[in-house]
Amino acid sequence: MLRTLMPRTNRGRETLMALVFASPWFIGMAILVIGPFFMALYYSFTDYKIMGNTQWIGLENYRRLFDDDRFIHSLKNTAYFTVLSIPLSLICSLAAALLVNRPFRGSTLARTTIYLPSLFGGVFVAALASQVFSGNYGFANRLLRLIHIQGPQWLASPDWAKPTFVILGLWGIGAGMVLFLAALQSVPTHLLEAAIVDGANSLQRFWNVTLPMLSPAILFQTILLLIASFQVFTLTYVLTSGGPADSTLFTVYYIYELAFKRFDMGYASAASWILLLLTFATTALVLAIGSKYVYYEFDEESDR
Amino acid sequence: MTSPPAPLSDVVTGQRSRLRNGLRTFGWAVALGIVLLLCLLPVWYLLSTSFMTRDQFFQRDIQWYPDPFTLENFRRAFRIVPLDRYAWNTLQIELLVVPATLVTASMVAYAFARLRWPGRDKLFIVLLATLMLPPQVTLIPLYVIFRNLGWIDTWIPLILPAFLGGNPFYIFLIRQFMKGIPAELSDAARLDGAGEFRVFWSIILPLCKPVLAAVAIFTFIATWNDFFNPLIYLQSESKKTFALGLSSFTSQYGTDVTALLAATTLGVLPPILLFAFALRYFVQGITFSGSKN
Repeated sequence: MLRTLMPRTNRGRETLMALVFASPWFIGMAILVIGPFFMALYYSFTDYKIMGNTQWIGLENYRRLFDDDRFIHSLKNTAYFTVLSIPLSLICSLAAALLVNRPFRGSTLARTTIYLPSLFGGVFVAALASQVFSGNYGFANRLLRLIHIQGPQWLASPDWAKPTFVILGLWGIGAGMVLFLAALQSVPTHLLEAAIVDGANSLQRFWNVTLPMLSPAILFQTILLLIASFQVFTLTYVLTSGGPADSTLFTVYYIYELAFKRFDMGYASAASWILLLLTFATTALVLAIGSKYVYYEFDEESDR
Repeated sequence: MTSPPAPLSDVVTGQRSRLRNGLRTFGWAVALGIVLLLCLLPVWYLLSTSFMTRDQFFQRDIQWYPDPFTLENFRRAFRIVPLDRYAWNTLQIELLVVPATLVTASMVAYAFARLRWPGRDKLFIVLLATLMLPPQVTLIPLYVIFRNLGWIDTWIPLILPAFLGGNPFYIFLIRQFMKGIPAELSDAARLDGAGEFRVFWSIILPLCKPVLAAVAIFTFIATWNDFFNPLIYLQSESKKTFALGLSSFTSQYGTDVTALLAATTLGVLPPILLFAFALRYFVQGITFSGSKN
């Protein structure tokens, strides 16, 4: 039976086999990605409360969102976190990679140590942070008191809660460091040697050789961080529930509240579509700006 | 730690003074020391307070190590929430998710890496694009679908994606690895009359062991640490995963802090142990493959 269905030509056979092999992904795309993607778009034009029936209300949800102060506030919080955390993350992970890039005894141990915090899942980081950054008797403030600094109230302070989240993000620079380490290892030594022969000092070498060679990795890491920083959720859920004074109310957490506490599914879907469009727009902007500065080396050896 | 060798520039120019070199190495060591300290201090705090008595924990001065040493926090942690139940639940989920991801992700990767078919390259770009899709967009419809199917408060929503290719990033990783295997190997097997499944299972997959090991470990750790999906889909205490169960600790009035930290220590242990074990395995794999050539 199956045999008669098999196309005769080799090419047709290969295509059929490919469809069989790729079928899990096709099914997954249809039922887990594309279907839900358009369903969310449809819900965003409806009044849908899970119980009761769905009513088409056109752009009403979107109009409501623009008047929703908490939604606008959550977008501002997300933007603040993104703008603060991405440059800091990039600089710190690149610096860490440069520190451990040279050969020394214990380099594997040093790299593993810096990567270690990245193995901590969000909820575990949050549990630990709840004690490290808790007011006066938290570990952070006890440490600061050793050097006679009166620390802030961290998570309990509307001014400091977001910066505390940024610090928690920086604890996980290990993943970025690994990426930059791999990129650093592929910087061709002949370029660095040529720069030395030309009399460039180490700063000039970093700025004119290493950094351009790293630029594709930097752009890639920026995009990854960007998408992740639009997704902050677990820290808010476990540590602050959006507070104090909505200072850690990030958009994904607000969407969660709308959908799973108030069961306002249509409204939450509209909010998620706005966030999606903002994510795409920002990613496209970063790619457009980035592609101007990114240097792709034409590699003669691997381009056979 | 010994000092790093002199930078290449010194070898070439031979002019830099020893003093300047020494200062530079000193600065490097201090910077590295600070970074390592910042990474390790919170870990040390977590570990040491897990073994501290509550009396010591609430002392006014900073406490560097447990004195006296106690396991009481762990005992209380298990009494407050069923940590063993949570851990066992997560392991059962892992037992399905990890093998399913390995099989389906490598099947899909095989189609993209080693078979020629119309539209392949365009669809591969689609696959990469889905990496950028924020998961909360599909979240609400998926919740509605799973709800209508009666799958809320079951593990099915957590497991099903693994049977459908899993995270596209892993498909990408395996595909890149498979691309590097010479075409002659599978062509020779096909000439000998092996079917496509045979080529996939007996020729290509065994060669992919290093990347499959990496994907297995990443999948295990990501599943262990996943908080969002269990939070959305699971309700009963008896079904919660470890990561989700830990959060019921903090939501309780008057959290037992040292017990919470003891539970956190237990929670970060599996990923760390797995990673430590895998590190050795990875290094070994590299050494072996190097010596063969």
